[in-house]
Amino acid sequence: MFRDPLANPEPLIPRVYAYVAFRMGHGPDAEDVTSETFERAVRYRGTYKPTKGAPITWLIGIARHCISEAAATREDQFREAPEVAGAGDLEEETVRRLSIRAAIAGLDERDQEVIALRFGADLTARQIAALLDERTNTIEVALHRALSRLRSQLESKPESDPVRIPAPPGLSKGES
Amino acid sequence: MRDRWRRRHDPFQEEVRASRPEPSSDFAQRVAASVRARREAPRSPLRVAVALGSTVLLLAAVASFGGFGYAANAVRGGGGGGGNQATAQNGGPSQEQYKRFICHRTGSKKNPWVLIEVSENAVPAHQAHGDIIFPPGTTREEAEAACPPPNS
Repeated sequence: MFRDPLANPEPLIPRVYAYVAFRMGHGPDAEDVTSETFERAVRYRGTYKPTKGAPITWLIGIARHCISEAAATREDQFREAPEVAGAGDLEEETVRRLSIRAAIAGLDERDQEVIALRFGADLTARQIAALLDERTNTIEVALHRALSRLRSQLESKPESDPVRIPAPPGLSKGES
Repeated sequence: MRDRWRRRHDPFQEEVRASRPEPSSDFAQRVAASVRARREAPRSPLRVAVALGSTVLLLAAVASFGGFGYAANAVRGGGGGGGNQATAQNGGPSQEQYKRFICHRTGSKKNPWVLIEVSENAVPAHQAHGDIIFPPGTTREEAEAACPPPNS
């Protein structure tokens, strides 16, 4: 029986966006890729099989394709022109969040991917394993290692130091 | 379960989760509206035509095998070989109705005749063998009284 994976799109949008933004940086590029993901999802929703996983896993699979296509065609603005925000500009919590995002962006590809899937798309280790075609245990270990590296990277960078963040929409230096 | 436990007990993971980028509400609403609009859009005429064509083909295939009336008759026990089976399965007259008692010639000197019950389909073969076939509706008692035949 056909089950529409996009019957209730509202809760799926922030999860897909968060995953994409963790991978590409928060901003218009992430919005474009998220839009493209949903565009394709609507077009190919007939191919969704509930037995293979939840709608979010299916959508993240589409988003991964969109990200690799976007990466092939666009410049990585996050790495080339990062914005610098001083701790004095923003509240402490916001600075901490931006530091975490910047630290995630400094991790290697694999670590970024598992962290984005786990904490951006909010997938379980089992769902990530299914998506990446790996064992759940492997993913749990990878997550644990990625978090350890993230933690040590954050500890090595004091919070009072300026943090390098991607340019979020409406949060450029002049507006904050 | 284990994920929930971790979520509750590791403040660093909570912090990482809290740092996740959120889309602007305007963007989220725009995407949701676009998805809903496209989901509710009327189906393309080509898809409707394909669906109609498949339905017509299916109906033609059913009609070529006798149509729906044949199936209905079969269920009522009205006709066809399948009718008997369908009637028996549906609690109508039992398969006993299609059994016949016969006085079977064994060829033995000691017991030349024996009363047996066979399917109606087997009647012609027994008749050819020289058995005595009782008419439909004959009870077992009547058949027993008449087998062996008086002149045997």
